[in-house]
Amino acid sequence: MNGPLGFTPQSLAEEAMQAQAKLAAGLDTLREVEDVDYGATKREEVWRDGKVVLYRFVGENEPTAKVPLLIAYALVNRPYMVDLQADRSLVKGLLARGQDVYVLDWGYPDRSDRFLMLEDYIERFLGGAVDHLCERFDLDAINLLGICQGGAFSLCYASLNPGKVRNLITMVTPVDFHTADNMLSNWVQAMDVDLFVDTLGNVPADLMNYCYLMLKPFRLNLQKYVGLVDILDDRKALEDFLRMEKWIFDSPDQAGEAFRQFLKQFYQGNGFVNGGIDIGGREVHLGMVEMPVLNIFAEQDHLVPPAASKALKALVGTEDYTELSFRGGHIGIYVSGRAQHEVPQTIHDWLGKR
Amino acid sequence: MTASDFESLARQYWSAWGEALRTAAPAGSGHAPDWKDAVDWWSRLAHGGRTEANDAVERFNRQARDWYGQMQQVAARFAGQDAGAADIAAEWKRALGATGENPFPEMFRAMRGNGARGLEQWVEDASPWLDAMRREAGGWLGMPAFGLGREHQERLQMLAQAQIDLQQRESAYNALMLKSLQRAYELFEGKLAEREEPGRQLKSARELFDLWIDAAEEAYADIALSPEFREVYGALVNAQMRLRAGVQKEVELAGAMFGMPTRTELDSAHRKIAELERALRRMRDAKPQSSARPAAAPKASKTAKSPAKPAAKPVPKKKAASRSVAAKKSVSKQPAARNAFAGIAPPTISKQGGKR
Repeated sequence: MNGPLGFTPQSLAEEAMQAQAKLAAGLDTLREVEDVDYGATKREEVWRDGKVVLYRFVGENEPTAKVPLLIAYALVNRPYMVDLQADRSLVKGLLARGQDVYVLDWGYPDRSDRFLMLEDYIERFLGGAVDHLCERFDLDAINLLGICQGGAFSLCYASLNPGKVRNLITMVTPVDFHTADNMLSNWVQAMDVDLFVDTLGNVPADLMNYCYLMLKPFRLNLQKYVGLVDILDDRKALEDFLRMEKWIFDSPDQAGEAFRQFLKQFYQGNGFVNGGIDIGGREVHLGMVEMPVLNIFAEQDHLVPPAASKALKALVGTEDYTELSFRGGHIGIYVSGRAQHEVPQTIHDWLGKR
Repeated sequence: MTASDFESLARQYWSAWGEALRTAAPAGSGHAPDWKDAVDWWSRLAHGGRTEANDAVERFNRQARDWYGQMQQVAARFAGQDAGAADIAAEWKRALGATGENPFPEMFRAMRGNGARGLEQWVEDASPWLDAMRREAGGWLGMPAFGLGREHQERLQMLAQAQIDLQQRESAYNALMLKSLQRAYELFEGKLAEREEPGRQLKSARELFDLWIDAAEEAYADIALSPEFREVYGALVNAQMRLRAGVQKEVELAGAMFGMPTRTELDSAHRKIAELERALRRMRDAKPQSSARPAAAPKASKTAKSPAKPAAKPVPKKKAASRSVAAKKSVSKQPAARNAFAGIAPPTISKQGGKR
């Protein structure tokens, strides 16, 4: 055949029959799948401020690290992505290497939280957790690992409180919000953010998820679910798929005022680069980030393009700056097979030298 | 429907495919049942498991079924033939056109969850009223208002205008999506042409579908990253918000007539609470000695954070003097002061776990 199609009616029928077999098998596997709960590691609550909870992960062995590592995740998704399941867990990898790992759970804001501001999230909640750990370990500073928006918060916190962060790790963290390949940023530039927040109050999670799906609408809404047929006869793969689905759509609403500030100061103002980030009356300057910094970004990240993260190098005050370029996407950096070794090992080795 | 019903229907489906093969008639010519039917049966049967599984089945059925079904029909139409890239792309275009010239808005509307659909549903429900008002009002929208009902008339005029504005903005957005779709067809044809090379031919309907996805994403990304999209999208969102705000205002007014508390009143109370908490925290951090309990006072000795204080000047970039651990040790801590705040607002801050 000379055209682009190398299949025959017979091969097409066989392909369809295979799909049929998968669908038929799916009728059983969909009923057999276990509850797709998340969280592979035992954890205990150690501190709380309102809906915000600090958890300590309990590993199989006592940690050997003397300085705790606090993970600050984004507000837009739940933090259990770092401990999704036993064979996909950044937390497990860090614990296995002797780190003492904590995670800050921002909770689900409701209408009573609409007026929480970035100052509350960064100084009150993140700062409160850091202070608790400093007191608990009798330390002046701890290690901080900020992820995505949590990385931006961590940069703000480290800039405003440099004496409390011993080492700073940022993962898939946006720093330059105006790179040419940043689709989300392009979309919000002409938005009247004040009108948006004044109207909605808190920003509904469904609306946020809709925006994220629209970044790659054909892959994320069509191709992904056509691909689901392939794994319908594989219970383990189906459970993994469903667990990821749960994570993607289990999203908190966004507190309105913090959302307003984040969009205006970061997305529209590009404050890390241009200045103008105001947290409770104090301006953030990344030049104040003098502690060692490890910046991990994903090469195929469609939410936070690599260039948006790599801009950090030129802005921080520290001379001890290290980058890890991970071959994968925004989510693969936590859950891919290669990430399970590469990411925790890099973090552990880097911390071990400081 | 039971599992045996599904098997029976599936047998019919595959028999039809077999018949199509024997007669060499293209399956897409009407002899074979639609893939969408088969998936419909399956989806109905697959429900009943866990919530997450049902959700995934629902998304699959809602989003992927139609598009992949269409592509399967197109693949069947050309299977075993030496069709060129242009013919296949044209057939795909025709197949999508059969469900409307611009399938994008339909697809994206179906995606939205309740949080995003609230206004849309309201607009749909209220459209008969708004449309009638607009038709009858015609030139009334721009007329000045007088007398006792002046404010109400002006507000309703603005609301009707907001609806018109939203429709215009949606049209502009849909036009961009259509432009993206047209570009996707061109890219699809180009990608198909690349596959005419020996050894690069597509081996299945799925590969054909995936190639279309690549083309559609590429075309969409070009549009979605453009300055034109930025303006059109921003204007659409702003128009949605203006209409929604107007609707909310009407609901508040109606509620207030019956003595119901309004969202604005609740927001006002929440704002006061948030500001009060923030003020307390700032007081605690700014004056730890005076507010801390005696036991906590010795530790709370530094880092007063005055909210009014200007930002610290940035240090020279790549400052040579890196701080040692010892230097960090010289910085005292704040947690004791937070304990003091716990005394002020016990319901807000509780603490578990002790010092090691």
